[in-house]
Amino acid sequence: MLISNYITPVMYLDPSGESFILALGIGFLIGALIGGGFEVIGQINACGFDIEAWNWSQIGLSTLGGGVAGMISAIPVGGTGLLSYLATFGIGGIASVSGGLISVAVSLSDPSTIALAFAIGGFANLLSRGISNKVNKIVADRAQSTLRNSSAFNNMTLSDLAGTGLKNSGLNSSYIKLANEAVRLITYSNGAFMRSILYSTINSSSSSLLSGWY
Amino acid sequence: MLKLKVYSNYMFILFLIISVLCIGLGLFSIIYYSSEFKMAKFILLILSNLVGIPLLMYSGYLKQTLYIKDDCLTLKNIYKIMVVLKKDEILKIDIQELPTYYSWVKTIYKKYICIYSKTDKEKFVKGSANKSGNKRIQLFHSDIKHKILLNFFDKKTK
Repeated sequence: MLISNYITPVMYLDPSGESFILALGIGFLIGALIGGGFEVIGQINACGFDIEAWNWSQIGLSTLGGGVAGMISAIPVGGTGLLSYLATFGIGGIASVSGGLISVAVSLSDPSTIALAFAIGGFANLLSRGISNKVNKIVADRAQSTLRNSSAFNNMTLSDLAGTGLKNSGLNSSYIKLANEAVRLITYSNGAFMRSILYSTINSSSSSLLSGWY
Repeated sequence: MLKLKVYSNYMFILFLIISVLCIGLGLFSIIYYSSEFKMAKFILLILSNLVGIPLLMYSGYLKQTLYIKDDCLTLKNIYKIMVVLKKDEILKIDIQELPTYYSWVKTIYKKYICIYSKTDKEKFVKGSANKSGNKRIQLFHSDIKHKILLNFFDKKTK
């Protein structure tokens, strides 16, 4: 029997790590932009547009701190249900504390800064994931129904109309493929956009809160 | 007897790391800070343990192995037997791509071998969704695992 050929236990890991590296890279870039961007705004607020008076080392640290926090919080978490969200919270907390230690927003000499950063980072990550998934699903459902409902032409975009043209030409399978591709693109771009916006908003609010607190 | 790894090591290790870091953070706050910061230490300890301890237990739950012996499939995690499926209970073996890893940047889909029984035909909609008592099993896809299962059940995939 064929099974006898497989004597040893079969243990396999995920074959591809590309998606993970991409997620971490995007997380780092967005985090760095937000961290650095808000520090620049802070410097403008404190010193005006006199670039020489800006604290460039702090801008560098905030950029790096934001990047590290963004990268750690972007680590994809598995599992289902509440525990999966708890892991997202934990990762967000760890990310926020790590980024805060680099950017000096969190101080090792005061545990209340660590506790606050952990809590804010955790909730920020949780909200980013939860809300963006929800919004993403709503938009995906709407896109799906719009593209499938022939009476909804009034709301159609240019790419939808291209699909309609194909349908009218009798290319039903091509139309369906194109429509599915459009839905996938809409969902994907909207998802990525929503996630970035949400993360930016929550992260910037937390940064403001943290800087105001201390 | 054959053993098949159900999920990747990534999930188990990640959950273990998060939980150790969280619990470590709580312990660090107790050891490192003086009693002057009583309230902050308490909050940090509660928060980190509320996250760390359940995740530590969950990492063990996700360490699942599928045993193939005689005419029986047994799914176990490190705590207990989760599912037992007899050969004649199997309805079909599907391959599905399911959302598995989530973050604010990306949702990653992975390919699974899904084994459905005559009493539990409800399709999986998410990855890492094996549950105790359910009569269906999913495991990360690989050609060799798929071949083993097909040969064992002598059934064809869709």
